[in-house]
Amino acid sequence: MGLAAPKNRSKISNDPQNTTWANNTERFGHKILTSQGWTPGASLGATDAAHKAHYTAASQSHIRVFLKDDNLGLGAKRGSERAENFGLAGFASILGRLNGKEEEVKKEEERQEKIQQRAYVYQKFGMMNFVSGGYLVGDKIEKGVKKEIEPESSDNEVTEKKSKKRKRSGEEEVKKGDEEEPKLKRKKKSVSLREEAAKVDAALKATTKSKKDKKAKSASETPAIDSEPLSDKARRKAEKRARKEEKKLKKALKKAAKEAAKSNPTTEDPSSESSDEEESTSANSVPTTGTSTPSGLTYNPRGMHAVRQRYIRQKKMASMDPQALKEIFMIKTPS
Amino acid sequence: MATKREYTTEDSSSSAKRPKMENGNGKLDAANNPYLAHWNDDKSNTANGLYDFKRHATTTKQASAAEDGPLNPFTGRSLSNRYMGILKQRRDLPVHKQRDEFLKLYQESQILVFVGETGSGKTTQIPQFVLFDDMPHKSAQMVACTQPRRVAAMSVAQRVAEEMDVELGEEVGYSIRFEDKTGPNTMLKYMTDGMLLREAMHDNNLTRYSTIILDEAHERTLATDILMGLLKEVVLRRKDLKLIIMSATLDATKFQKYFHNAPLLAVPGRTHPVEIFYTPAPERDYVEAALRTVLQIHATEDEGDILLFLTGEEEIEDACRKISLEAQDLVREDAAGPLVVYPLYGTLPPAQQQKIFSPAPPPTRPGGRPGRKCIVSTNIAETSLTIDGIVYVVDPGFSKQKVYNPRIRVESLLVSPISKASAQQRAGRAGRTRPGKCFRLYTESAFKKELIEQTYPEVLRSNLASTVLELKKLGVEDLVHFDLMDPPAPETLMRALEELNYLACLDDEGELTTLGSLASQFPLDPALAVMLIVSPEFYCSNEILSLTALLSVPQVFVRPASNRKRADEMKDLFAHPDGDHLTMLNVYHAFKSEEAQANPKQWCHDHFLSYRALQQADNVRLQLKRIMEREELELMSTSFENKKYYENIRRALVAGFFMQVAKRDGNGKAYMTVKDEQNVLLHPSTVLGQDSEWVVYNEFVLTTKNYIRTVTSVKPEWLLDIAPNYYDVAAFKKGEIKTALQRVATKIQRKEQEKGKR
Ligand SMILES: Nc1ncnc2c1ncn2[C@@H]1O[C@H](COP(=O)(O)OP(=O)(O)O)[C@@H](O)[C@H]1O
Ligand SMILES: [Mg+2]
Repeated sequence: MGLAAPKNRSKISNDPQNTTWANNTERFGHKILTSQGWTPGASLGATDAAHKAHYTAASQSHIRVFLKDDNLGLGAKRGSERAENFGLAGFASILGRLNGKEEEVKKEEERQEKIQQRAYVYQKFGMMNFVSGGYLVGDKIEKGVKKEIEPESSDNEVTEKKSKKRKRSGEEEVKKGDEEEPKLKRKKKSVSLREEAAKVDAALKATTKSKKDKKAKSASETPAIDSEPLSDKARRKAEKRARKEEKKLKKALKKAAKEAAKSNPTTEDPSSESSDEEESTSANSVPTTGTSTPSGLTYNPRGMHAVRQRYIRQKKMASMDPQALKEIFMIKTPS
Repeated sequence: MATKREYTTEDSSSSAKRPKMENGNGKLDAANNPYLAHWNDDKSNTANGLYDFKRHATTTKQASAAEDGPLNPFTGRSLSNRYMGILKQRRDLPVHKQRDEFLKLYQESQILVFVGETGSGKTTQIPQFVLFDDMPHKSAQMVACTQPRRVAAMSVAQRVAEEMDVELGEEVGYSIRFEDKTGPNTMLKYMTDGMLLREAMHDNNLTRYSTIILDEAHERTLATDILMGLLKEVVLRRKDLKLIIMSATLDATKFQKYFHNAPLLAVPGRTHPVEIFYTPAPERDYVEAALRTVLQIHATEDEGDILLFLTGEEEIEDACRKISLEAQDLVREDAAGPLVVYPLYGTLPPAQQQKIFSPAPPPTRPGGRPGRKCIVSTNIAETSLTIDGIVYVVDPGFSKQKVYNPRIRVESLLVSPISKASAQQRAGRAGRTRPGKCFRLYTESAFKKELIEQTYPEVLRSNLASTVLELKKLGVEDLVHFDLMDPPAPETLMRALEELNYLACLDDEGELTTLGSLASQFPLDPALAVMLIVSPEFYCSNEILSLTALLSVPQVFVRPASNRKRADEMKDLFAHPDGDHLTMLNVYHAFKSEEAQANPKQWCHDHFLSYRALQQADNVRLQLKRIMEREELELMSTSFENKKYYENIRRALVAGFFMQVAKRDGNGKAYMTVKDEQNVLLHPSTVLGQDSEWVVYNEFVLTTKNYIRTVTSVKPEWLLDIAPNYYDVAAFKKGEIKTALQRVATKIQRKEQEKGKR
């Protein structure tokens, strides 16, 4: 509950704005100001000040603020809006972090180890997702104009996607199914986490049917964690959109992969793996269904994306299927 | 002898020898000459290395040569190895490349606006650049560099003392409220802007200073804004005074315009990119999200330190504890390297503040994962302090900000969204030493839509009673046209004037009274100052002095979440049924008892009291006592056996706080503030249990429920008796309070009459 809503007030004063005082022109303060040449409605300050153009409305009347007496994050609204992270929006920022190269395959083992370590962290604390918003240049933010990334690469895509996302609320709902893990972790940390992990593990043993399972699972689990039920129609619609988006993203990814390979050939960046993995998810799932895609598109800063589930799946795929392995590393694939 | 004469000539006119000096040889010879050093030492305060420097005509080359030693140009002692090491670092700072341009503009212009991003070396280097050219010690003057925050003033002074290879408090010192660490040799003084403003009250032209640097001007603190207004006039009166306005935000046009189009010097910005990340959706709990982000960074990101911004001491301490605990788990699971967590906020003791500069811990075992430090800070780390090695910034988008509503006369610190400018500053902290990342715990759309462009300057968010008193003392008569960069709302100024008038600090014509003049001597809110000044009339100035000190420091009661019950039991030991002020006084007296002083730290710990706050109160009390003695205010106590002991204290409270009184609304729990008629509740922390119809309060706490905190019960008769102007019953708005006061007035009258009859 970030902003104080009147309903929370115990009792509202008769004259909360104290107009009795404000309207009284007999007061000492009013008298003194008038005697010094002030007229009601005028602002204070030097006459003909050179910087007058910079004055704000707060020079006229005091600043009004909302009261905040909770830990609700910035932009979160109480009740109506849920504060989960939704995957899709963050997707494009994966770009620029990709450094896949075929020779690096041997590093795969090392990576997997790291992934395991990270999985521990996610399991324990839940996961934070982030979306890249460009680079800070001076005190402005410039979208994707830094050495590492080419101007049109990722960021434009993100913006576009995001604005779309905002318009279509249904789409967000779709993702909830796949996003349940972080959500759950966050809410009922350790206990539910363990359960969840076990569930996920089990579900993933049968990799091939995973997407179907997953869909079913998400559908069944969503209500438990999500108070706002989602209409089937909305979901279908959103899914369709997601599929479309995905294709675009795929393209973007490829472009970025090239970039990354060019600009960042040596650094072994933990973040890249996750991005890679994300990519693989999308790459793999597109042809088959597309419904699971949005989850795969979640991004977070360095590597952390996702949920254990996905790591395991990817690990398996990577070792089983050379094509998948290629995709994980963002090696050029026929488009 | 010959040498000596030569230098004397050099000093006074010198034209023939100048070239030689400038190539540095002459200076080096001189510096190497022990005979000369001795000569300079004799002329105490004359710098050895700067004998041939012509004021406001020096060059970078000269200064650099002097800096190279081997003798300290300001003290004549030989320079340490450490100095040489730091000197090398200093010369890599961005401002160093611009030293020539800086000197040129500084020499040419009386006012200079200097902008450079945080970490470019403004605070630590520019004052030193100035020293070499201005040489204030030669004219027994000083260079002042103001800081909005005490922490920064202390920390930066410490750093610069090291950079100049001198003892802190000697050539370089600092001065903050209730603490002065300067000496007769001090030539560079870091000080809070509030302190410089106080000095201006005694010395309207600030004659002790040859150059005044207003640093962190972008922060737009109340004192900096007032100082800018004053100095704008002082520079007209004192043509020899130089003024430098330094800011970390690049857009300085407003400053330039304000200072008659003063020249601007900008140091080019950081070299490393900072990538900004947003969360894809709003966060439910920003603190929790922050903790998770920190741990996630720690477990998964490359080497590099973390800076997390939170809003206040309690939140920060709590976060530090949690992060440390979780990080230990990570280490145990071998999921991450070691992590040390440091808090940083204004009231932290200096020794602990310095810790933030210690390097990150090494890996737990050779070849293990690298260690990291994580600093959890308030706004201080936004621009005031530069911490190298920060690569990751976590920004939840909030800070504690003051707001003032003149209508209901409530000033509070509220957690509010920061501005876009602040968010950018925060992000910038990540790119100091190499490319960094800033994780914003809000969405990009929230950044765009929910954040205002610039933080409002403090002058628009504050009760101006103290400020008006100071301005009056500074001789500013026309408050309406005082040239501020952002003039306050007229209602805010009116309220300030009215409060001062009721406190009898201003007379009915708006002129400063003797009481007002006296009150301005105390670095206190006018109400507190007046209470202290009139306390001898109530025979309790010793007690009111203690109480004033206690009200000027952070909360003395500690109430850890894990042990609330025990803490409350301990508090009950000190509780006085008449209220919190008296309870605090009991605490102080107990703290000063022999028993407690035997081991005060332990005693405080046992009694759930903040040792730091009490110690600070002790210090503040001492400082205030000095002022009282200087102003010849008598220190006295009513004997403790006297049954009026506490009553006198409560009456003295009324003398200062009669404008902060609330009356119970009927028989319920609710209270209503007098005159402003706001509904309030007693804060749950109060010890005041009994039936108290009228209370004075120290603080109005603005939350979704309005609380008054630190309350003490008073008698309505006292209100009428002690503050008859404010309690002019006839002028009251019709209502319960008026009726009640009328009843009391009638009762008093009747009593008087009876007395008269007898
Ligand atoms: N207390 C300190 N300990 C170590 N280094 C410091 C300290 N304070 C400043 N520095 C160094 O000096 C540099 C410049 O700091 P500063 O002058 O405060 O920059 P600015 O005022 O432009 O933000 C910092 O980047 C840092 O390297
Ligand atoms: Mg600085």
